[in-house]
Amino acid sequence: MSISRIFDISRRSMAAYQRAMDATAHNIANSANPEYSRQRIIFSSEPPEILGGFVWGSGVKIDQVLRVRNQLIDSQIRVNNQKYYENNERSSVNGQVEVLFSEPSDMGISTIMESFFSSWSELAVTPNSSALRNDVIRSAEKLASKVSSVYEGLDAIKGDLFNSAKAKVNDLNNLLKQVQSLNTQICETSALGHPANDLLDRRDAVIDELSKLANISVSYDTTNAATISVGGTFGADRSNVVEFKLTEVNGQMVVATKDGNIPANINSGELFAITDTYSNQIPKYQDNLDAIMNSLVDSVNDIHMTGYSITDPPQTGIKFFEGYENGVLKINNEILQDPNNIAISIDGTEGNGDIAVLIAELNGKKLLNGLTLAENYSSLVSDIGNNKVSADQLAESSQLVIQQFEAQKASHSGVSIDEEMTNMLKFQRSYDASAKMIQIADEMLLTILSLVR
Amino acid sequence: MMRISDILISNNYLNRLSGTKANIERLSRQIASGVKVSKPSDSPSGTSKILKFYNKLTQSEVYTNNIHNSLASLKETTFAMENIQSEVITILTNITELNNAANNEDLNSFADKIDLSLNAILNSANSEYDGKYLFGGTDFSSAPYGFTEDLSAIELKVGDVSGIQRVKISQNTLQKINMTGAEVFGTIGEDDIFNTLIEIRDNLRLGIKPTEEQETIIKNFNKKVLDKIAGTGNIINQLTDAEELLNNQKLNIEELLSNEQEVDVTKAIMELQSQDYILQVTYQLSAMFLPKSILDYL
Repeated sequence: MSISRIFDISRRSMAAYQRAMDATAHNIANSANPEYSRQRIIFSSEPPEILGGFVWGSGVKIDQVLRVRNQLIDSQIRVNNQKYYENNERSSVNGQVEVLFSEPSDMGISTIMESFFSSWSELAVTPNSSALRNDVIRSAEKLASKVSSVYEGLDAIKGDLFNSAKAKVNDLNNLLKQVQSLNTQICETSALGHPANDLLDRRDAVIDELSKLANISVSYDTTNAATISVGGTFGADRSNVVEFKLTEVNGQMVVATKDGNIPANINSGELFAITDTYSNQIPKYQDNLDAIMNSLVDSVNDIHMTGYSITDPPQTGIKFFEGYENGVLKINNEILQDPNNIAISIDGTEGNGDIAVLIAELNGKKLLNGLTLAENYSSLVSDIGNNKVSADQLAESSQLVIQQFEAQKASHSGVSIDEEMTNMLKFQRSYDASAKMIQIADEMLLTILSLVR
Repeated sequence: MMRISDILISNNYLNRLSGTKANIERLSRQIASGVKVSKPSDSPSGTSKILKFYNKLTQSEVYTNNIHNSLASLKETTFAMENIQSEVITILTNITELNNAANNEDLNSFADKIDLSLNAILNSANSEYDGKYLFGGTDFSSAPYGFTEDLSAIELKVGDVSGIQRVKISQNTLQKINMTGAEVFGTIGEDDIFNTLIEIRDNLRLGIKPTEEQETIIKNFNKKVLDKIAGTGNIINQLTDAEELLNNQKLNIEELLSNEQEVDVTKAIMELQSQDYILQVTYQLSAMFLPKSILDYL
C-alpha cells in the first residue's frame, strides 16, 4: 500500500463533492423555478482493490445526477389540466354571454318584452291616443334594439372565439415544434452520455402547456423521445411534427392537419371549450332567442292583421312587424310613419281596443314549447347561468385535484432550501475532510522523506 | 412522511390566499351593490324567479295605470250623467208646474226652459274626456249626438254608439269601462229623450202641454240615468277593489323579490369580517414562516 493511494482517494472525493456542490448550487438557483425538478446526486463507492488478501476501499464516485420526477403525477396533472382549462374557458365565455343579457334587471329583454305587451294593454284604455300609439312603437323599438344588441354581442363573442381559437392553434403548433426540437436535443445529449435533466424539465413543461389546450396523449420510446398525439391525430415525435389549422365547415369549427386535412377529435382542453361554444352553445342560445322572437312576431302579427287601423278609411290585414331575422326585429314601416296604422279596432271604430287587449294577453299565453314567451326567455337565461355555474364547479373541482397533484409534485420534485443547505454543509465538510486527508498524507510523505535525509 | 419543499409551501399559501380573497371580493361586491343576484350565474334558479317577479310587478303597474285612467274616465261619465239627471229633474219640475193653470199663459217661457235643458243634456251627451266621447261607444270620429240640418230633431252623428270599451285590470279580468250612448239614451228616433223634449218644446210654443205619455218617457229616462249612475258606481267600486288587490299583490311581490335578490347585509358583513380575519392570519403566518430557512441560522 502506498501513501499515494490516500492522495488518489482524497482527490476523487474532493472532485465528487465539488460536483455535488455544483448540483446543490443548481438546485438552489432553481428553487423558485416552477418547471424545475430537483436533482439528486447518487454517490457510490469506487470498486475496491484486492491487495495482499485484503479488500481496500477506493473512495467515492458520483453514479448519476438523478432528476427526481414522477411521471404518474405528471400524467394526472395533464388529464386534469384538460378538464380545468376547458371548464375555465367555458366559464369565461358564458360569463361574457350572460353580461350581454343584462339580467336580472329592468334593462333586460324580459322586462322590455313585458313593457311591450303592457303598452298594448295601456293603449286599450284610450285606443285613439296618439301618445299611447307612439308608446307601443317606442316599446317595440326598444325591444328590437335590445334583441339586436344581444344578438350582435353573441356574434361578436363568436368572432372573438374564432380569433382566439386561431391563436390557440398557433400555440399548439409552436408547442408541438418545441416538443420535436427538445426530443432531438434530449436524444443527442443522452447519446453523449450526459444527463438531459434540464431539457426533460423543459419538455415536460411544454407538454403540460399542450395539455391545457387539448386532449393529448403522450408516449415515450426507448430513446426517451416523446410522441404526442392531439385528439387522436399524430402531432410530434423525435423526427416529425405536424402542423394543425383551423377551419369552419357549416358553422362548425374544425381543427385538422394542414397537410391531408385529417381532423383532430378535440374533446377536452381550451380548444374544445372554444370550438364547442362557437359551434354549438352560442348557436343554441341564438336559436332559442330566434324561436322566442319569431313566435312573438307571428303571434302579434296574426292578431294585428285581424284589426282595423284608425286611418281614413280604416285598413285591415296590416302586419305590426315586418319580420324577424338574425336578431333584426323590423317594425312595419307604414306603422312607423303613421301610428294610426296600428290596427287594434275590431270593428273599425277608433275607440275600440279589443285587438290591443288580445295582443296584451299574449304575454300569458303558452306560445312556445308549452310555455309563455317570458318563461321561454327565463329558461334561456337560466340555462346560460347554469352553464356558467356548472363550468365553474367543474373547473373548481379539477383545480382542487390539480392542486393536490401539484402539491405531490412539489413535494416530490420541488427544491427544499433547508435540504439543499444541509447537503451543502455535508458536502463542504466532506470536501474539507478530503482536503485535510491530502494534507495529512503530505505530512506522512514528508515524515518518510525526512527519514532518508 | 410528506417531503415539504419551498415551492409546496408557497403554492399552498397562494392557493389559500386566493380563495380567501375571492370570498372577500364576492362579499364586498354584494354589500356594495345591495344585491346577491346581479347576473344569472349568481343563482340561475333565483334569476328565473326574479325575472318572473319583475314581470309581475310591471304587469301590476300597468293594470294599476289602466285602473287610474279608467277611473278618471268613469268619474267624468258619472259627472256627465249627474248633470243630465239634474236637468231631467228640472224638466220634470217644470212639467209639474205646467199642470198649474196659473202658468197657462206662460207656456213659451216653459218652452225656453225645456230648450235650455235640452241643450244642457245634449252637451253632456257629447262630453269628451281624453279624446274620447264618453257616450260615443267606441266611435270617436265626431260628437255622437247633434241636430239635423233643419234643426227639427236630434240625430246620431256617428254610425254606432253601442261599442263597449274593455281594458285588462288583472291577468284574467277584462273590465268594461264605458257607459255607451245606446245604454243611456236608447235608440234615437224611438221615443228618445232628445226628440221627446223637442216635441214638448215645439208643442208648448203651440200652446199644447206635455202629454202623460211624454212625461212617462222623461220619467223612464230619469230612472234609466239613475240606474246607469249606479251601474257606473259599481264599475268604479270594482276598479277600486281591483286596485287595492293589485297594491297588496305588489307589496307581496316586492317582498318576495327582496328576499330573492337583496343581500342580507348583516350576515354578509359578519362573513366579510370572518374572511378578513382569515386573510390577516394567513398574511401573518406566511410572513412568519415563508422567508425563513436554515440560512437564517447559519
